[in-house]
Amino acid sequence: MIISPDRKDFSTFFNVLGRLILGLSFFMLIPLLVAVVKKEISPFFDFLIGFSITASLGLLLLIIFPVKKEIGWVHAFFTVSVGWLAFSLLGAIPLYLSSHFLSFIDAWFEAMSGFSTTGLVLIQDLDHLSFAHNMWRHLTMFIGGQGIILASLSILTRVRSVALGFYIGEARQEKILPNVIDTARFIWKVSFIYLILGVSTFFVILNNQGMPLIKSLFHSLWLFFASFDTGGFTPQAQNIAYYHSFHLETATIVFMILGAVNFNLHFWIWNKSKKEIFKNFEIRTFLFTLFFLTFLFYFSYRAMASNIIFRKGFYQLVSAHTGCGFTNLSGGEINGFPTLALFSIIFAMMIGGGVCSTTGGIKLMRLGIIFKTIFMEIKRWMMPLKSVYKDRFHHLQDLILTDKRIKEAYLFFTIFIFTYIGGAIVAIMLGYPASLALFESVSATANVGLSVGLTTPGMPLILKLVYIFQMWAGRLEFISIFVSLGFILSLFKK
Amino acid sequence: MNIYSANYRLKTVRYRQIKILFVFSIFILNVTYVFGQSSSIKEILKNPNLFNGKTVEIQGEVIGEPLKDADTQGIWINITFQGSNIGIFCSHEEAIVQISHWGSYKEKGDQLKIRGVFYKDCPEHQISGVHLKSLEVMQEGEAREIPVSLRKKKLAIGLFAICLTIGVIYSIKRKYARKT
Repeated sequence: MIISPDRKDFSTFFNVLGRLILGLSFFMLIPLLVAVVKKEISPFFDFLIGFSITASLGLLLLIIFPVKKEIGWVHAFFTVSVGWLAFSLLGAIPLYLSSHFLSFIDAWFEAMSGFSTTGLVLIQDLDHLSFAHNMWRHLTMFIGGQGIILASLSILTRVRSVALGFYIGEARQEKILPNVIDTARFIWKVSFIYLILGVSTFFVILNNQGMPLIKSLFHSLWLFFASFDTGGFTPQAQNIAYYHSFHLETATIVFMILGAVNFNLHFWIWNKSKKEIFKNFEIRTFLFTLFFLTFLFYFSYRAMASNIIFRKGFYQLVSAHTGCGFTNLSGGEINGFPTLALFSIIFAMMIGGGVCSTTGGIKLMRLGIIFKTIFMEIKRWMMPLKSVYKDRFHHLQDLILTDKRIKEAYLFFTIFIFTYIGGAIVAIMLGYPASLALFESVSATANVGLSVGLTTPGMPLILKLVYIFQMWAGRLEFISIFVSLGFILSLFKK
Repeated sequence: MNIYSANYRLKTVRYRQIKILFVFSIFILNVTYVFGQSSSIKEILKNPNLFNGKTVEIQGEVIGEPLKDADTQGIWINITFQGSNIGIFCSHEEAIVQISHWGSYKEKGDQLKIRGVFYKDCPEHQISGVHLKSLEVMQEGEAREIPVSLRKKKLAIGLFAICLTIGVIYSIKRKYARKT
């Protein structure tokens, strides 16, 4: 029997949504404060407007819609999927008011790109953007990367009973600690420790390069948000190429990889066994795919010096694989890659990082399971007909490759592939070349943010909307959206 | 030697001279300007192979700040023109002393005319960029004025007042709900 929501369910859902929106409004106070400190008058009013609208909406929802039912899974899935849309729309308000966007859709695109940690940009004249707006752009990645709902879970006590629903709805399959609230808090704790490490590292590099003290502090913080949360935004239009620093690029590689690692593995390494890193299934899959794709890249650029390939190729490859989207190349340069190199970047983007991390894409665990299933089937064919064979893999503990795991891996793999192709077909229909259309579609769905130059303010509106959908659906890994749609459809069947 | 053979020899020599002049002129053109005119940053970034190793002349607003190169004594500056940006490598700091305004939220940077060699894959820095030969400040930058319209101010204050009112109503409602 399918659960169909009633009026009481909607009242409860809007109440929870109101709380989350109110939470978002408090985040807007950070750029507001930055505007005050940096004496940026116009951005101050932009964020005052943004804060007032967001807080008012949150409070209104709380006043009008009381909790009429125990908060359950229905509300959790609904809140997650609608919540992300609402957050991106509200988060777009101060961005739009900055006058750096051609339309509100462009600002919405940017906000969704930030919250989903994608990193595709439609902003114009980024080099003249205020500190306050830049803080907001990067903060959206931090909020989104850590999980908007997860952020609220750590502070909301009323939703404890269905915390797992919110948690799974936000595309995190694994609990780290028995209690999801404790898991959420652990993720925040780890992130803050890495934040101190990351900001200090970037600060030393940038300050040594001659960047003024306060500015290098801001840039370090933003670069950390962008690398650890695998977002890929930067405060300058040239992305990471602005800094012309090999040291900075190397440091970002470290934090991109840290961000792409499963938080469960972080917990294991911190609290249990450091040896896990050598045995872990996801890490092994990552090393295999990275090595294989790097080989393809080097093969297509074999005539070039290896130090140039490292900066021009390996960097983009790691950035693509971790779903970050940092680049030290222009769109034209990526566009000019030999076909094999271009496709190795596309494959890296498709795969993404670990489950329960800030990355998007198919994820290493699922790809590893798919590979393992293929070998398992070959072995099975080579065995006597009646023999029973189950393969194992090591992820924190020895696990059996059950049919449920295999089914889940193939399900997500199929949905992602269809979405990658679907987005590419739309772009092809609009007249873009096939390989470039696929590149951009994968980049949007897997929340990477690398671009070959298709994503510009001048691109067709329909494509902007398609990419917004892809970023949203890719970040939530479809399920909570499908479940919400199912609930809505069930209303019409009543 | 008859007149015909002398004439033929003269023609051959002239032909050779023209050939040398042609090859030389191509060589000269190649190392000075691509197609003998200034190029836009967008054009260079779109066709990096075409401009690789060639002297280019570009214009644009200088943005950000000078950044030291970690491995050499040089400085990197970045310029922007019509939404396209490129890095310029200056081998010595004196080259940029004439720059007074750097583009940012509060400043419009100096408009520069840059002459330098573009490298797609610079052997020294491994990334693309222009190695500066000469720099000229075409127009000095200035402080940016970002006016805030009265409408925006009124809207912000009005919305904030509404937000406070709703906040007060919500807290009264909560107090009332607790009592009952």
